[in-house]
Amino acid sequence: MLSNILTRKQPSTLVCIQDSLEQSGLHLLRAFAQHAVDRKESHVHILCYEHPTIKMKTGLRNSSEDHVHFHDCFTDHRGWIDSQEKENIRSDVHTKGNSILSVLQTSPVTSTNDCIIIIDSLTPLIYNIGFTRCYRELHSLLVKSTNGLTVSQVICLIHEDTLPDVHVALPQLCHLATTTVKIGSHTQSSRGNPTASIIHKKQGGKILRQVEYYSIDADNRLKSEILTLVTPTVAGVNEDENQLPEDLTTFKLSLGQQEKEARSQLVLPYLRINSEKGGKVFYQPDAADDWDEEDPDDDLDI
Amino acid sequence: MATSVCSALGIDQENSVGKLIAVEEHHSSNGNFVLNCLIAEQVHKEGSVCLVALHNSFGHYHNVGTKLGYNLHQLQEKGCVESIEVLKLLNESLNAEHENRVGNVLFGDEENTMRNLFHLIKGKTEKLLQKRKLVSLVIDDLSNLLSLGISVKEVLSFLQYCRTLLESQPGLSLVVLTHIAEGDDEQQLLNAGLCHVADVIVTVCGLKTGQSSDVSGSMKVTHRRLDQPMIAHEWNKQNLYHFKLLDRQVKVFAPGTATCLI
Repeated sequence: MLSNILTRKQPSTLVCIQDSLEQSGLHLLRAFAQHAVDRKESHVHILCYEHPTIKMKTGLRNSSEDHVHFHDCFTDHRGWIDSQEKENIRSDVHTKGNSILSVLQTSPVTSTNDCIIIIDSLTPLIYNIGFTRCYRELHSLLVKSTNGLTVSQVICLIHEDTLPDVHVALPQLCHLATTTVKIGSHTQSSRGNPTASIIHKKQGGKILRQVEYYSIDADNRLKSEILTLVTPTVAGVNEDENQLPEDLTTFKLSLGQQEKEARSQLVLPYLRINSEKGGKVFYQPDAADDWDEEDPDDDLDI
Repeated sequence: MATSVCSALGIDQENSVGKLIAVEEHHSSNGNFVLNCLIAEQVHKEGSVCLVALHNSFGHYHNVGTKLGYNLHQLQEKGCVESIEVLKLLNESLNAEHENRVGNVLFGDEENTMRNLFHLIKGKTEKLLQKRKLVSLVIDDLSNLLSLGISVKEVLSFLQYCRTLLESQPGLSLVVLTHIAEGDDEQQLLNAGLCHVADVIVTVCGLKTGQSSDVSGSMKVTHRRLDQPMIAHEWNKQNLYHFKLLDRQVKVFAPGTATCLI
């Protein structure tokens, strides 16, 4: 399913990749960006908040083409250097917009054409402008009428272990996202590759869940397969234990089919089989028995 | 001397210029030796060091340096080492604040404090780069800024600004130490924020089972290699070592190969 989302066979407007320190999701984001660059159908805006643009540029092939636009939101993101050089007053410093909308609006290359927005990490943005504003901006990007921009897809990365109010923020973001990809570290069954748990909301409202493992080659091409769990079952262990004595001895301990049938047909000598219903009392008086023929209550006048 | 630590970190094989090395020091251990070894390596390569000391004084580094074979005071006089002692700045800033004069660097708006500190660092590294090609910016305990009452947001912004220096000043490398106490959420957030952008993460912990006379603690080295293509399960992505701190050197060895066991 991951490759279907990447190739947009499964349309998704907001893809949110969640990663943690164990396994970085940057490679997957780069694969998404590479695919968007190679398709050449729409303008690609890459917003670098966490890493310098040069790192993203060197990681992508054909990144110098006309339809790819890099936005440096990393260098001097709060205007500390600018203010020192120009000796601006502090109110000006804060107007240095670093939010998604202001970056896109101020860039001269912004077109009204279809565009794909890739954000290298939302985490610094959330720290700087707050989660609510960040959420609102993402939402307004997805609603087509705002700001004259037609955004067909937003792909963003977020680190779940650096968010201040992670229990509040992450579920909200997942609610907004069409596709949530949670990156996990490699397991035994993923052959050393990282895993991705995908939750995708289809346009009809159906929700698909799948766990896959993926690999990305040097050309940023993605390969993904469904993860089938290899679980050592408890039943298997028990079977082994039962078979163990047979393996250890040279004697035959088990019974064959014929032997089992013969055993079931055998009538045991002291086993009484009652065919009649109800019970009977057999009494055999012995010699010392004091048997009284008379009725013991004969003298009573009842 | 410091070579065992440097080879464990892999910086004898790969160039550390333009990279960020994060040292994560867990409670009940001390990661200071990693910084000292990196400073020693830098001095050995004839590079210069800009030391931002928030936890220990400059004298401490000088004393350790004399045992490792270099003299920081002399190097400072030569102009190869610059230091920013925040503990001393605190004193000056406090006096300046009381007397209402210029020089109050640390007390005031959180953002201003971080901005002032960044500009101090920027000035010093620029000065050092004019003399030497290689400069290492060492920040000893970034998490101590939280103790000054500065929020995680501001400290992470400060870190981001220090990282922009890596781009604007070629030849610079960055070494940052953070301390993690269990249950301190702010320190954990800061550390995670740092580790996400680091190229090499060095985690220094004490032994889980207690104290030992032959092993001081364990050191985990993780190479993140985000710039390079992804390789499924690299064998050397994460390495675990044990170390023993001695008077004049650090011994680094694989777990289970301490001298008393062999």
